[in-house]
Amino acid sequence: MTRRSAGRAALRLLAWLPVYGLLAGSAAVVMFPLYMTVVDSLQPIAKFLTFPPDFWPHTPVWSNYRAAMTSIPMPRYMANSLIMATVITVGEVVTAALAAYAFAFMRFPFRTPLFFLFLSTMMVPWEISIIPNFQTIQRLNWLDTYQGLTVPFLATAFGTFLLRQHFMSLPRELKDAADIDGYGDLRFLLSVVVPLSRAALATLAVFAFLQAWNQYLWPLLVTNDPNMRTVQIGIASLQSEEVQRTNVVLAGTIVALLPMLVLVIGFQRFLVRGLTAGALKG
Amino acid sequence: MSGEATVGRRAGSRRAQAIRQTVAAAPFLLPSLVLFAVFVFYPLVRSIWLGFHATDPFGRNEVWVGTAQYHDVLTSSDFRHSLLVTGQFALYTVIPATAIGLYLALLSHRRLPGIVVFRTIFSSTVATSVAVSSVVWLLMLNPSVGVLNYILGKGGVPTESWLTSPTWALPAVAMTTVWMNIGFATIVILAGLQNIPEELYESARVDGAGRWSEFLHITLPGLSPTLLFVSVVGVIFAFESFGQIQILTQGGPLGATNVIVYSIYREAFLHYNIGLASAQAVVLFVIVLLLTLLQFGVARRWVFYR
Amino acid sequence: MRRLAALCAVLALTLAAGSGCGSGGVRYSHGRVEVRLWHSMSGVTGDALKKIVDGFNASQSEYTVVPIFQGGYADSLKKLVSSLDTSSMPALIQLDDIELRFMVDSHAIAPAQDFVDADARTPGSHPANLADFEPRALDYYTLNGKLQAMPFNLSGPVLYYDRDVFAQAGIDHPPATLDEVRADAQRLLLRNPDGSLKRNGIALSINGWWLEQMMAKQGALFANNGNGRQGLATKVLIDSPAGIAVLSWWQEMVQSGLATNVGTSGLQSLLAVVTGKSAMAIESVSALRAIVLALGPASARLGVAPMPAPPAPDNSGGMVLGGAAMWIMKDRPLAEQRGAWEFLKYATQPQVQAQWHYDTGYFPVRVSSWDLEPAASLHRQYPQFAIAHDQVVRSPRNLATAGAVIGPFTQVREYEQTAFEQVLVGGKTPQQALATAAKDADRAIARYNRSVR
Repeated sequence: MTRRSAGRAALRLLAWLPVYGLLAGSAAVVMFPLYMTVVDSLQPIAKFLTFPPDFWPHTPVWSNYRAAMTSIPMPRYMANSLIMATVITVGEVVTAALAAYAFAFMRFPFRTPLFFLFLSTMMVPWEISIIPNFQTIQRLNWLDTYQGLTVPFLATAFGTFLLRQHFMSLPRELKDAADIDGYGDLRFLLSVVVPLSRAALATLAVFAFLQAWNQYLWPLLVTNDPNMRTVQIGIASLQSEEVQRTNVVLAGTIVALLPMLVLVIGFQRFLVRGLTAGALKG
Repeated sequence: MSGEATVGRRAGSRRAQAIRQTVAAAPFLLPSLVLFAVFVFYPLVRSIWLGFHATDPFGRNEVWVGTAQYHDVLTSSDFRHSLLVTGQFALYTVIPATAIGLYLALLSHRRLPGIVVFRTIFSSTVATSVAVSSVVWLLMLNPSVGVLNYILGKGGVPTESWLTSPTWALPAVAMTTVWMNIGFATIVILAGLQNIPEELYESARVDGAGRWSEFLHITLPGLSPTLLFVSVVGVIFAFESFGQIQILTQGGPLGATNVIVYSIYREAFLHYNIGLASAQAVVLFVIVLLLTLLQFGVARRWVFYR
Repeated sequence: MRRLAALCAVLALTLAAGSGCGSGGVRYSHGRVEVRLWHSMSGVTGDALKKIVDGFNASQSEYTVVPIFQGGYADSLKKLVSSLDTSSMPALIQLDDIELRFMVDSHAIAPAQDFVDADARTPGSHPANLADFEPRALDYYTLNGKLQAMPFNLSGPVLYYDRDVFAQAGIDHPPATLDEVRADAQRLLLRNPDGSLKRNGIALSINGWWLEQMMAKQGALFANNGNGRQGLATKVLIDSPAGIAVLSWWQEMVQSGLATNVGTSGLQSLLAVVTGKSAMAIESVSALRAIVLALGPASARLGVAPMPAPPAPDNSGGMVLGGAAMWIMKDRPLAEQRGAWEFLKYATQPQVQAQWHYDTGYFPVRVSSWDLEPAASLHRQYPQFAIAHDQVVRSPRNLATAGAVIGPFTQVREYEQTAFEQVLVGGKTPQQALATAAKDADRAIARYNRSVR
């Protein structure tokens, strides 16, 4: 009997073999560019002057990584990116939660027109604001500062909309009960609405963080001081600074990628779960 | 509250109530409103104004030039080409990224030993930024020593100078963008799949539905809000794409990858024609506005009257 | 409520942390005046510049030069323009030759000439000995009768070729004219057994600089009013026979398969030669040092020759010796400007320039540097460097070789580049493409000239 069930298990596994084949094949294709980057980041420079390319680093040159770390102040760039992305994320979540609460739970004159005014900001393409915003930051003497990097992005119509939809799905009775208990709006928001909306807030936060971390044009425009550069600008700068040492550029790229990769691998289940909890419905 | 209120007093109390409500709501709304006013609405007005003025390259000697710059933009074939390229770029990135994300999500949405590893791999490109993925692909696409041409050559496919060919440059840039975005698409679609109640599948199986019909009648409709979300975000990303263009092609060759952001950036920060760049941005705004209103009209028919 | 207030406080603190400086006063570091230098020297050349800066900082105790890499010249200029009237402006910036007119029109610079003159008036100063400077470089950066910027890294295009391949084909000297390139390329082609091309004659990248240099080599002006040196340039002359000759050759070479078009990114053409896919390439001399370092002993097979071009009537043509120069910004405090000038005098000393030439391959700005060590031994070891020098000294000094001065030159180059692409992949004739480019360029120049008046 045990032998028969073991046989059945083996048979089932055999049936799954094509699926595993597909999974492995797809994984290989998805990972291939990164794999080649790691391989090439360990090659001596002379390898880049030969064809065909090598698929394995036969004599790994670990000093490429040291060269990348000394060529640009990578830890500093990482810290800048982290500060920038964190401030933007916190700012977006706070401003969006406040505004969404007002639209979902409060009564005040011009509520609907105001909501449409919020939504209308999504129709203003980001391109149109680059030049005037740059001039504003310049006039405030905010070039090369964290406020120059972050303040223009602290409010989000998209996030407000997302959270309002979620808040509206919460039972109205909660609000009535809170009113009877004499909760103020802020207390109700913080002690009832926020705990019930963790998933939606997390989704917004992840989305905001990724977008902020990946910002490129804005940091390129508002930072001149190398101490204020973000990782993204750092890689591009490394790319042009070490144009003759491709291996070093790739090593720097891997170093810049690692923290985010660890974050994604560590939070992979959480990322999906945060979205599963109904954040996108409504 | 008060029992016998006259009409006048009632109007007064209503006004008082409105003021009270406004005062209560203001702290919640003002942070966003102030930021929008400074960084969205003011720039809009300012851009329109800048479009009517020309300056020297250093932003000095501002002179009124009327509609000349708007006229230049509207009659410029380069600008029309940029709009077209932006649209194509959105198409080339959104559809493949959504399709591949759907495929990878469906593939890994199973209970199998070790599936978590594959899910993690499929979503891993969400960690790559635009700079990382551009640098990674720059080497892969290199016509002399790049690995892509090597593999294609082995397979007997004619090789290309990907980034210097007017035909292939945009697809090549789109490919790096798709690779970068499939991680995000996979994560979101996986979440969407997990939101579809298992019972729907069970009852379908009882009715003897095939896998294909299951996919068509349960999975796809269940995923539709998710797929809409992924593609809307993809379009927003596409319209803001700048880094990959700057690193890979600088808008070339022959303007083949000159998306609208890059075109505005070039006019403003490489040619130092702030006025002309602003006029481009304003025209783009009007186009997006018209498209949105059109879409809104269509959507209202669809959604509201159903 | 309290939690929210705390959050706001954290937010405010984080933001405030970034706003350190703000005033436009003299920058100090460790008691010395800090002179910020924005530059575009990357990789090998970046290391060499760092060496010069370290040498200067160790040679005196008043100033500290801080080199800051700002990407390519265009990136650096963009940042400079956006930082005008703000405190993030540097005291010294390195920009490529074509920004001459633009920088002068900015009214934000202090001409180098002013410092030369001030030195001459000040007893006990160590004035720069302009008589020993490469005269062609001084020609280039002199506008309105004044030396505007200090020439620093001089370069020019050269022909790189594979000596082994040339020997196998029985060709004993590199081509000097475009016709000779075509003839040699035909003999250098190598086919696979299946008939496909294994090696082509020459790898050509797209760069307006090649067109400008090849026109100067024919003794032709690039812009009207004496290349913009006798009056404000209002028109480019690229649709002249000299320009059309260059682009026609380009088109014929690429379409016949004798040449391969590697696009706009630099160094790709050199990579094609090094990997054996092409027998020749045209590239800046500034790539030489990096490629010699990367190849090691194998670099012996890499030959260097003057850039081929259509011959000039009665030897009136030659190379434009631009490269890049250092500009002093007049809005920085005087102490920083003086520090910048002291640094420039140090950086252009014959000995320093000989080392700079050795480290990078750039031509030294001092004539006497050529005979100093380590430049002299470099020429013995790699005759390629000396050959590149020949085309400098053989160039006559006239308006054509002084180079064009145009305000929106970056934009004009883009139109030149478009003309190349139109001809190579867009199906236009050289005449059509250059006429369009000239029209677009003239419009940009008119707009620019109007705006700066």
